[in-house]
Amino acid sequence: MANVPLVVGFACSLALAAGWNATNLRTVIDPPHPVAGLDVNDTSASASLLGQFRTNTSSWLWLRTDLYLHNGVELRPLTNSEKRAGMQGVGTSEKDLSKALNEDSVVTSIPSPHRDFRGWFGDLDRATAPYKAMKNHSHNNPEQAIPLFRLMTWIDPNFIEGWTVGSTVIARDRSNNGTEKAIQFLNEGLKQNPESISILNELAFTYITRKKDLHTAVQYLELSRVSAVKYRGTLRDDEKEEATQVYRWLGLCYRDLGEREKMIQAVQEGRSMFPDDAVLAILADQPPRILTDKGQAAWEKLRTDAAKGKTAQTEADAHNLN
Amino acid sequence: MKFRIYRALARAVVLESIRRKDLWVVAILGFLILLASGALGFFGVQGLQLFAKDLAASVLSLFSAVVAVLTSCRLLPEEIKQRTLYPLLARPISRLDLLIGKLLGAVIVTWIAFLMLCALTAVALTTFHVQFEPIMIQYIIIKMMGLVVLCALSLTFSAYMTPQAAATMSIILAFGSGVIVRGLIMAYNGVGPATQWIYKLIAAALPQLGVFDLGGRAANIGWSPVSGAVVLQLFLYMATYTGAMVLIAWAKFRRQAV
Amino acid sequence: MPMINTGMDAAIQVTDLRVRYRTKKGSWQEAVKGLSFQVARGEVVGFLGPNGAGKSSTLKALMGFVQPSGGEAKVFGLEAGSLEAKSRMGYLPEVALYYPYLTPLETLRLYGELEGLKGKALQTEAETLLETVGLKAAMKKQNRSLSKGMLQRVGIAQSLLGNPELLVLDEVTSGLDPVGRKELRTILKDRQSKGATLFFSSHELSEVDMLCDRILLIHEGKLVEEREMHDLKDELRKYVLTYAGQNPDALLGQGWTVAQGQTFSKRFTTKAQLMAALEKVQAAGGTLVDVVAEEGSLEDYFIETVRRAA
Repeated sequence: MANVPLVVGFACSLALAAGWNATNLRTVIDPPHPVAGLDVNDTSASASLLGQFRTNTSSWLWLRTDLYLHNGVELRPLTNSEKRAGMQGVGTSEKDLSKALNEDSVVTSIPSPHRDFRGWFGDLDRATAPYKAMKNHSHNNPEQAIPLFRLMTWIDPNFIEGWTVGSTVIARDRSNNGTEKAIQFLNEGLKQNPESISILNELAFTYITRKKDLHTAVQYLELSRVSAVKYRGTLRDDEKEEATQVYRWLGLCYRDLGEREKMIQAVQEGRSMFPDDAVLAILADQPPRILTDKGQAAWEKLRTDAAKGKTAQTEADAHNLN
Repeated sequence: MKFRIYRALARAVVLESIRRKDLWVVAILGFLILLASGALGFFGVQGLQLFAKDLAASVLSLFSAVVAVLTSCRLLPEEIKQRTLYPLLARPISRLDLLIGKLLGAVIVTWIAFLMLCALTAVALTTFHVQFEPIMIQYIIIKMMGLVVLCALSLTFSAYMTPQAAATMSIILAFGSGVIVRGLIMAYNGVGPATQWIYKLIAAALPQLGVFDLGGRAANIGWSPVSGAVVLQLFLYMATYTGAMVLIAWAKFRRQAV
Repeated sequence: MPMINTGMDAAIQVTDLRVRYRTKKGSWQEAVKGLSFQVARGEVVGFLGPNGAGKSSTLKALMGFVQPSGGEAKVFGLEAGSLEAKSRMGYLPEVALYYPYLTPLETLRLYGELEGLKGKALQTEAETLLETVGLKAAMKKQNRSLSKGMLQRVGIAQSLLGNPELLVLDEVTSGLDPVGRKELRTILKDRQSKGATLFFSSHELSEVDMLCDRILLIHEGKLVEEREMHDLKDELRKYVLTYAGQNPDALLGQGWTVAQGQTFSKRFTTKAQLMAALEKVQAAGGTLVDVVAEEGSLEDYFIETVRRAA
């Protein structure tokens, strides 16, 4: 016995140490051009056992973070048979907050007494585990999880969701300080994942919504656009959605900046890549009713100018015909 | 008189374990905890208290279970293999006494290891500025009860199978019984009445080790210690399940040719 | 084979004992096949037989380590293996392995406590016994550092704990050097003189010869010979008569050999034959030169008996 845990412990610690230091190995073992978004993890995992360990650790942290936000109350999705049986999730049993958090289809892993066939064992389980009935379901302040996002991205710098969701949580502090910290956090992520569409989009989105700085946002969106074009053939569905967002926001930003040609170019490029995207179709055709008044005015001016131009052209054509 | 027998047997198990340096392994594992916490501390501890507590509870749970299983699984087979059983059984003690004494020894070794790990973990947690809470003491006490159940389970398996198989089964149940029960709960409504009874039997027979783990409550914020009535029920469950396990082991061992 | 009625209370009573084991293939193999014998209180009985004859199985049945598949074994009239029976017995296993990380003193203290001994009395007895078996200097070393012979001494010491009325010793001299064997004989004779019953198996026929009142010889799980030791010794003893005088052929019958010139010798297998021959020699006017008693070989007897049984 003496040797077994010793060996296991040693192996674990070695793997742990090596996993944490594996950043240095990435340049050697990763493909020359890391792919965008979540693919980075997958590629690394297949290339490196150490990377796998690191990825697993950060994934585990991700799950634990979710658990902490529910103060330890473990939730699970409803099964199909439970849905068919009319069972309701956490969100539907509480008034407003839970619905907002979209937990209609989850229940507590430890069932409530009326759903639990275990009798006394179930009572003991509920008494000793962090269990709350669905009607008492609540959430901890997500800001408590900020250090965990820092930790998981420290352990696995290619864990894109850690960077993006972490920045969103940091930005819950709506002061300038909060915004700056969120941007700083995303920039750290960008340094590790320079071609990540998700991180670039999140940065752009933060500049748009918090700082109203469309110029800087466009710089990030343009970088994101380069990634989207570069990896267009290998994007997964969720990444395609991210790439679609690039063109939507680029279109809107250029419109509000009054750069019509660039807007049309971006929207057209987006439509060529994602011809079924309804938002891009609308952008190509009419002014969206979002963003600033200035944007609206700019669009109206463009439309009027275009209409004038069209009228003038029609008149000229008619004149020529005559 | 009986207690004297149990004490003598248990003392031999503990002395052997200490001198064999089994507990050194625990010390090394504890050192790794300190090392890891030091690494996290270097990263920055602000706001990581909850995670540190949760990680500590998970690590304690894992390591103590491994120690419990590995200590208990080999006691009986090793006695038979090394033939140290003969001079023991030549004494005026029953085989049931022998099992109880051995189990007591395994439990004490496991408790020592667990408490050592707790002490080291406490040192690690102080670096994270984790505040002491009464539920932590309750966590330790109830966890120790759970380790008794796990030791008994492992000892029983070892009476029926090889130490390796017994260790595997014990580890599977230690970490998997909760998952199995959750699965049964999810599937329960979709099966017929006869199968539902089977589910109930399986759920009752599986060791409910999860109920002895207050780690979730201790780690997360605002959970109060469990009531005295619950502790009493846990104690009764521990006593009953352990007793049943020892009897099952005895059923095999009492007439086993050695 | 009829049992010898010792005329004393039985320390061990084995009747039609059967012991079987399940083989790795799942079938049953009978190690002891209807064994019956008795050992009286205060007797020293050697239990002999070739390897695999069923000696250890019989001893294990006496200790309750295996359940008989048939027949019964009683110790002092109590069921073999019962707590009451075991409290009056000491046992030395064939292969002596003791907890490697305990010292001989701790080992004896452990067994002593299980025996019901305690406190200073236990400490004193343990130390005395270890001193008796020659382990005074090693009593605080861990068992794993002891030689095989030293471990056997630990085993002997533990078997003597609590001053048992019956000692069951499996391969008692295993691993002991000649000095150790002699010391062991002294210890066992001392125990016997204090009224203890000794029942032991051994391959060392010289030990059996020197210690036993009686021997039981088994082969393939069955008792093939049961002999009082002094009868057996008499039986195995040969006498060589040498006389000087006339050629014996006409006077004394065949079988005489010329030892030297007019000196003749003959070997007799019983004392009666010797005495008869001696009378005849004297009647014929022969001069008695020498009478030598040659102790018979127990080993030859053992081999011959086993061969016959096989």
